[in-house]
Amino acid sequence: MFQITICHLYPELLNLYGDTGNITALVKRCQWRNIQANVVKYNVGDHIKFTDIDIFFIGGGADSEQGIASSDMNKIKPYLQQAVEECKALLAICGGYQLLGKFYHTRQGPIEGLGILDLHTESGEKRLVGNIVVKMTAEKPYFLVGFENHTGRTFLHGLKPLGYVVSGYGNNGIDKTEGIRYKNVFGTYLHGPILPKNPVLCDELIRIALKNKYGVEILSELDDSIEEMARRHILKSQHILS
Amino acid sequence: MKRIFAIIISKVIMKLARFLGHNGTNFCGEAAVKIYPDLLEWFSSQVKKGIILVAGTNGKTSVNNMINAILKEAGYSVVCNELGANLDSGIVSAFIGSSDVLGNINADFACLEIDEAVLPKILKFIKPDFIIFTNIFRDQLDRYCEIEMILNKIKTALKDNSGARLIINADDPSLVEMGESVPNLKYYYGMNESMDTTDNHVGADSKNELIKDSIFCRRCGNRLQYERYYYGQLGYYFCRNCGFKRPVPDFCASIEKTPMHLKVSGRDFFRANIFTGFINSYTAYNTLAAVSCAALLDIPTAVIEKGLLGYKPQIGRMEKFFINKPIVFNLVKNPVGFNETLKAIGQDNREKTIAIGINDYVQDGRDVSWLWDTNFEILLDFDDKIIKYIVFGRRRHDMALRLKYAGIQMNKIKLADSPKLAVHYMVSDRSSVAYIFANYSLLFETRSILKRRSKDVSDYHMPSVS
Repeated sequence: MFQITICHLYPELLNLYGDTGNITALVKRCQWRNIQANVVKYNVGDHIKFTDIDIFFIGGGADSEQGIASSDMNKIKPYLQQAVEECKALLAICGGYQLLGKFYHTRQGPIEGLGILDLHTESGEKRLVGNIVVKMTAEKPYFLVGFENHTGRTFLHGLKPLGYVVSGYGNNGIDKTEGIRYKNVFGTYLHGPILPKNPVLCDELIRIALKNKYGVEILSELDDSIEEMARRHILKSQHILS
Repeated sequence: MKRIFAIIISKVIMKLARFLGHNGTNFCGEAAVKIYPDLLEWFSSQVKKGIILVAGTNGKTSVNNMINAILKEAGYSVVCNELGANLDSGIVSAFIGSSDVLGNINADFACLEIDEAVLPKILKFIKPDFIIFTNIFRDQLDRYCEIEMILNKIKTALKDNSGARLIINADDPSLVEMGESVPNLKYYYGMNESMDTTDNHVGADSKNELIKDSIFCRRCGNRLQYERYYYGQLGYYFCRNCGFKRPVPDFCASIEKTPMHLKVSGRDFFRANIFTGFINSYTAYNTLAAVSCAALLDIPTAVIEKGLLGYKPQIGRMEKFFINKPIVFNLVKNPVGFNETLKAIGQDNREKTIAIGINDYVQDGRDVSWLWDTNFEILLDFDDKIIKYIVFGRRRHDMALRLKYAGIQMNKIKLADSPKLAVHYMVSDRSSVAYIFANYSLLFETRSILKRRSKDVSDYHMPSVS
């Protein structure tokens, strides 16, 4: 039986907008395939064995909580950096995504990021809120659906985005890019939560984990009909499907 | 002249809306304010004895209506937005409803529930005597952003309203921190003892680690310690680092069991025993808030007790119907309320059907991610007693998806294209009781279907959990 370990970074601090549902989706889609998925929670000051982790997840939080997380995150930066360079899977949403960049320029001044990804974020005036559809630029084209809710505008310094905005705002509301894909790091503004409604992305993370650990690349098919129906509602409401 | 025009127009709209079977409470207020923006100031300045505002995430409608019931029992005339239309437009509508065409009202008190996000705006026009804060949980985040932002806006607004006295839930650390940072006079209320009534889940919420919005001290950022924990972030908390802790309440209550009632004690030797039927953690807090306010208004104890005896919960709050079987109908709108509702139905051992309706219009919140912050895994504890899960509303697929990932078998989940069909499915299966939950924009339509089909049952209500 295959076994993978998922690390939920700062679940007590960064847990807005139902993003914990992403962990649920990873675990369930493993279970349904008879893959054992263990979840390790990492909170401020914890000690865990980072080299045992196959998939990392980090969500977003309110400003003050994000501040607490970011100061702790500097302590675990070497482990995260190593994981990223070893092509481990990492999904970062919204605030967690911003934290991986070089800095976040707020109205009060710049906040240092982890600097794992070559991107930066500035705070904008208008909050970018609403349903969003993104065309993923990976091997097979796929529409990611979700809900975005952020004031930060993220700019990529030449890195590849996760996809291009079909409807909504994305990284900054200007250049049509959304999120980032660097090695096996997926950064994105999509809540929803993103994984239950985009099973292709969820399975991609599991596939990467299995490939890294066991050299296996094939995942069995699951019945995703209800996932499809939930997706269709968003695609229809954004006039992408009729 | 403009004022009179505004009032006439909106009165006509209100009549029309009622004639057409809508509850147009927000709409006509909107029209009036467009024509005459200072309407709120004009109305509120006419209130003779006092203005009471009720704000917070859960319990606003209940607390507001309880105070209304007490004040009416005391013989006062009251303006009240009873149905829970709590945006600025709904508040204007409440005043228009009790004014003559010239805009004159005859009211001793106004008690108004206010959406916490609208409160800062309202405070520019209305100078309240008391503001009651029930609790602050996550709710409709697309509209309100994070709790922190709302609290900061309220803080700013209160600085220009230092005359308003605040009645604050001492068990909620977010509210207490907010109160401490404004100069207003404050009164606190809180629960006295462990609230384990018939519901043994209410105490330690060990299973649900999902939502504890402010387990971190809002003063210094350290983790808060809990000596006693109720639900959400409510309990007896303290911070080891900076000394921030639950203040000693001016009014406190305990749930007495035989016969079940709420025993309230407070400042100036205040003592009251409130009988409102079944009491759970939610009703206990709501009742305590209303009683504290009434006591501060110097309403005699006997009047408070009698007023609450006559209080009836509002529509869609654990409301009972009968179509082939008993049906319980409840409004759900945020994770904390939904969790408490799910725990409550777990106490019912009968075989049941559960129907859940989720819409995503502005008043519901466009973002349905809150379904993933709700702990539907609670259902697994009594899934063997659940015959079917019916999902309806615009986001029924999202709801079905959430149930699937909670571990519910897909063959137990049925999609219904309309509330009418959902009710049909619900009443025609073999379960002996059905629970139907809906969020705000589905509330009125669903209720009217239930009401039309329901056999007359006595006006019996279970306590509200939302």
